[in-house]
Amino acid sequence: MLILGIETSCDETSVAVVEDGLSVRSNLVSTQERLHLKYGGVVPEIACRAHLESLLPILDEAMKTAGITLNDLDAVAVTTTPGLIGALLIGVTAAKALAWTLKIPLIAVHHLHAHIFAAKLEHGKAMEFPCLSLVVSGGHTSLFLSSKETRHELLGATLDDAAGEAFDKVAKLLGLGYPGGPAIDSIAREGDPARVPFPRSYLEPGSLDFSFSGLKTAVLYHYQGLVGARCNVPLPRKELADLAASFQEAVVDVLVEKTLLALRKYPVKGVALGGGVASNSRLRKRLSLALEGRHIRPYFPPPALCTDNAAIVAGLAYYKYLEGELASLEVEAAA
Amino acid sequence: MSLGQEIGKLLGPGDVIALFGSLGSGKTTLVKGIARGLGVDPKVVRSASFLLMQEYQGRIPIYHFDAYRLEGPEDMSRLGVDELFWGEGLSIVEWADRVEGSLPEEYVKISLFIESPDKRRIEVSCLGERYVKVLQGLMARD
Repeated sequence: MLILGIETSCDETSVAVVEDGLSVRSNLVSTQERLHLKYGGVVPEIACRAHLESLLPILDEAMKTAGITLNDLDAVAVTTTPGLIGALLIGVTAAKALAWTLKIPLIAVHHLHAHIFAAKLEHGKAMEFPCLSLVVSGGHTSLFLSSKETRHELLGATLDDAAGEAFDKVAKLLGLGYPGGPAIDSIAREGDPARVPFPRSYLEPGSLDFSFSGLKTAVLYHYQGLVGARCNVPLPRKELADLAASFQEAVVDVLVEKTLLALRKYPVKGVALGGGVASNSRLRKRLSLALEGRHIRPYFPPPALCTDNAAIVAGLAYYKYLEGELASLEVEAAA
Repeated sequence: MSLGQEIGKLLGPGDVIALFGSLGSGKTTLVKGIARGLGVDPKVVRSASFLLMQEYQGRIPIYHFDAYRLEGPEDMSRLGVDELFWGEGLSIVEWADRVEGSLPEEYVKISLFIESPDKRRIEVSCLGERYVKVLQGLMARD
C-alpha cells in the first residue's frame, strides 16, 4: 500500500511516499533555513509563500524518486496540527485536492505523533510498545506514554519555552546564529559543561512538566555579566564554548532526569526520541547511557528523521489507515 | 503573576495590552497572571514565540501574540491582528516594540525592566480614555 505524505507545519516543505508504513520510497525536504537565517527564526509570511512555491515541484520529485505516478497512490496523509496555521493550511489544502481528484482516502496526522513515529521508521518491528516518547523541538517539549503507533497519552509538557526555543534564543544571544541547536551542539564540544552551574528547573516533586524560561534568563544574566566585566569586548571562543556547553548540559540534565522519573512511574521497556532537538549529540549520548544502565531500549531515529519530514507522516498514516481512522474532506488545520 | 491577575480582571472584549521588555524580563509570566484573572489555567499559557499566536478560552477569549520572530508591523498585520484587536477577546502582544506600528491607537502599555535577578520594575501606562478604568482600578488596589 502506497501512501503519500505531506508536511508543511513549520518551515520545511516535505513530500514522501512510504510503502506499508515502513518502507520509504522517497522523502524530499525543501528547507527554508536559508530564508530564515537573517531573521533568526521562522517568519510566517516567508514560510507560507515558500511552501506554496515548493510544494508542487517537490511532489513531482517525490513521485519520480519513488518511481510511481499519482494514480498509483492508495491514500494521502497530511499534518493537520499543531503548527503555524498559514503553513499548515497549504499542506492540508493540497492533500484534500489530491484525495478528492484521485478518489483516495485522506488521513490526518498529528505532528507530534509523527515525530514519535520516526523511531518506528528506523527500528521497524524491533520497536516494542508500550514505550515512553520524548518529543523535543523548537515548538515542543512533551513526554508521552505510547501504547501503540497511533496512541499517545501526554504525561507532561513545557510550561513556558520549548527546549529548542531555548537553544535558539541562547544561540542568538551568544551570536552563534540560526538554527541554534546545531550551532550550540557544535561549539559545546570545545567547552566545559561544568564551567557554569546554571539552574535546572524540575518544578514540584514528581512533575513531568518542563520549564526552560528561567534557564534562558540565567544564561542572559551570566553573559551580560561576562561582557560587562570585559567592557563590552566580545567573549573569546573558549568562554562562549563553556557557556554553550554549560547551558546545553542543564537542558540535557532536565530532559534525562524527567525521562527517568517517568520510567519510575511507568516501567516500560523502551524510550523513543523525536523532534529536532533529538539530533543533539549530547542528549543522545547522555540518554542512551542512562537507559543502558537500566536495560531500557533506546529508540532513537537518525538526524534526518528527527527534523520535520513527510516520511514520518506517511508512515504513521498507514497504521491509522489499518485502524480505519480516516479524515473527511472537511478536516481543518489547527494551530 | 498577581499584578497580571488584577489587570486581567479589569479588562474586557476588544482591549489590547502591549508588553515591552527584554529577554527574560517576565513577559510570559505576566501573561499567565492576566490569563488567570480571566479564568484561564495559567498552565496552558506558554511562550508563543514559535507559533506567533495562541488563543485561550477564559471568561472572554485571549489572543496571545509574540512578535519575537517578526520583523515589523507588516508581519503582524499579515497574522490578521486587525480583526482580532477589534474582536470579542483581549489581545496581548509580547515584544510589542518590534511591531509598534501595528498597534491600535489606544492600548495599555506595560513595560518590564530587569532591576536585579529577582526583581522586576513594571510600568503601566494607558493610551486612550477607554483604559482610564484600568489605571483607577490598579491605583485602588494599592
